[in-house]
Amino acid sequence: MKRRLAVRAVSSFCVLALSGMLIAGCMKIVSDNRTPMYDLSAVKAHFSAFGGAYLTVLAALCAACITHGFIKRAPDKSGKRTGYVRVKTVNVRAKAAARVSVLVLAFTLIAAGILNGGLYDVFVKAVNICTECIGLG
Amino acid sequence: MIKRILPSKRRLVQLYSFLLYNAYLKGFVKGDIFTGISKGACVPGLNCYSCPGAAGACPLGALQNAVAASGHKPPYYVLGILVLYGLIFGRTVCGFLCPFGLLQDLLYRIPTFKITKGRVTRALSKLRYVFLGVLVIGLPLYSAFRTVPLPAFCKYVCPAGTLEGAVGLLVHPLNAEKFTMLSYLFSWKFLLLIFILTACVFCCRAFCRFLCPLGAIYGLFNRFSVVGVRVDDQKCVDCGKCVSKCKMDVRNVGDRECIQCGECISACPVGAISLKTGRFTLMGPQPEKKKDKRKKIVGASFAVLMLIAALIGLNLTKTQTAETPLAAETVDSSLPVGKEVGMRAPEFSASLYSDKREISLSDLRGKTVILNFWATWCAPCVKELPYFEETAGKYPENVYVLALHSSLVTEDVQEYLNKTAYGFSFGLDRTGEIIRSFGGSTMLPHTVVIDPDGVIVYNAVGSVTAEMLDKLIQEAGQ
Repeated sequence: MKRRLAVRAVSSFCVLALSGMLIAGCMKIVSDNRTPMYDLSAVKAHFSAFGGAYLTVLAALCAACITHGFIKRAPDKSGKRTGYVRVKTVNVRAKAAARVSVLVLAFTLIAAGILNGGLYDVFVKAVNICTECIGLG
Repeated sequence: MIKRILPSKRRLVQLYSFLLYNAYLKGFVKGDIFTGISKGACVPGLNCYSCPGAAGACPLGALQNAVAASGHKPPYYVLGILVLYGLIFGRTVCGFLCPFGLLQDLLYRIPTFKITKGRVTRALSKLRYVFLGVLVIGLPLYSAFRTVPLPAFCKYVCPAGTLEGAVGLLVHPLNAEKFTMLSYLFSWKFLLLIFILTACVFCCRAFCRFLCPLGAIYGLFNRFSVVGVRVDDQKCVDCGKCVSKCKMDVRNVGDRECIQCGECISACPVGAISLKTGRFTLMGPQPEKKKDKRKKIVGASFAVLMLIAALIGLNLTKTQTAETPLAAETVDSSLPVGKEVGMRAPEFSASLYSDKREISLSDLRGKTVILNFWATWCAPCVKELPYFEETAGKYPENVYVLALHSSLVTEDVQEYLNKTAYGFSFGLDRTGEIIRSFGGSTMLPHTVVIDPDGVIVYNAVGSVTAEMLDKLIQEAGQ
């Protein structure tokens, strides 16, 4: 029990430390640059300066995960039953009718979409990198 | 011990889906995205189409772009696809077929202290619908009636885009120059990505439960989807152990919060729960009939064959290469022709929208030429057009600004130009050869500046400003 707690504490600390370092590094690079554009050399410099710290934290996290794998698992504690509501019995025919109508709707929409060029529009967007959408530019 | 190490069936299906959606492995080697026809098909789960390996389109991104374009075209196709996936799978997509769901499951396995469900998490799970209503439908719909399309969830929130798209492209050495395009938007999205991934370590499926609009859409179909976890009313004794075992904020098995993962099947003391597709049981306590076993083997074999076909088909097809460009007449013919700065610009010819005449680079000898590759469906492209207008107005004698629309046209460009009434020249890169001859293809906007002698002074992907253009014109004039 104590070993499990210790492993969890170490892992939690490592995860938070890793996230903290990445966030701090990101904010430092943004604040150092006069323009909001990143300089690749600044990113490389950050990782060279703190590479040891990152590797140490990652190593500790890996060790904790491996140790956890060898610790005997505690019995699965059941969580809260709060808010349990019995499933309402659904009329099978109504469910089948809903499925059929939704299926017809889906195929109608898809056919209409193909005819009005919607499929081509999806293709056009997907074969080009939207620089704004992935955070570049 | 071995059973603990081996992946479960659900994990195998998740890994299979991830590999199938990102079967274009060559993209990770080349550092560019797939541009084949399968990109017109939306995959069921959240998988950014800017990921180098993505073989299909993201349904959420496609929905936002379709809604943003609904001013001139109703989004029937994407809505139909979402309805079809919802009907067939419901939130089984979340439990089995979503790559980002797989990532969250793997992160949750890190042995840290965990945040259990409660009133707070239940309340937070309503946030998904706010994101759906505002960022996926509301803002793109509002932008549909303005000139600049805005896929707001993709732009401001989506962690899959940041991780698979941005990071996936940037880690490749060939994309090193794209670091110069990073701005505050990337900073925001990167920080959000770290926050979400950290949250997923401590809270089961934090993104799925609280933020994912795709889960919100599929959840609406959970009750009557074809594939899903079902409870046998005759056997159920209302012990509630299924809800206790479940880490999601469910009130009962198969409700809108249920990701149909089937973890509750083992918790049921009376064997009332099973994962079914129609009448066929996929996972459950019932003894397996021989014919059901055979069906499963056939299904699994078909799935494996499909994956192999995708891997071979997508990675071994030939990619299109640009023709050898012709040189424009220049003073210094000792310089090689190419796309790099300092080389002679390749000759091209395009037809103008204004008077339908053909214009070529050699006609523009003696002037600085600013060539901008853009498209009506590209928001950053549309946003920077006023800068070109300003520049064209400032240097009417010495500079020629030409904006070439991508070969992929989704709306009437002439009608768009009539509405916006810009004063400089617009043309069409009919076959995509021109942008390829300048080294571009899948990323817009792309700007090239050519000096009066036909030598390239600037050639880069990314937005420009009026000040940048002034500086480049001065450089070209020297």
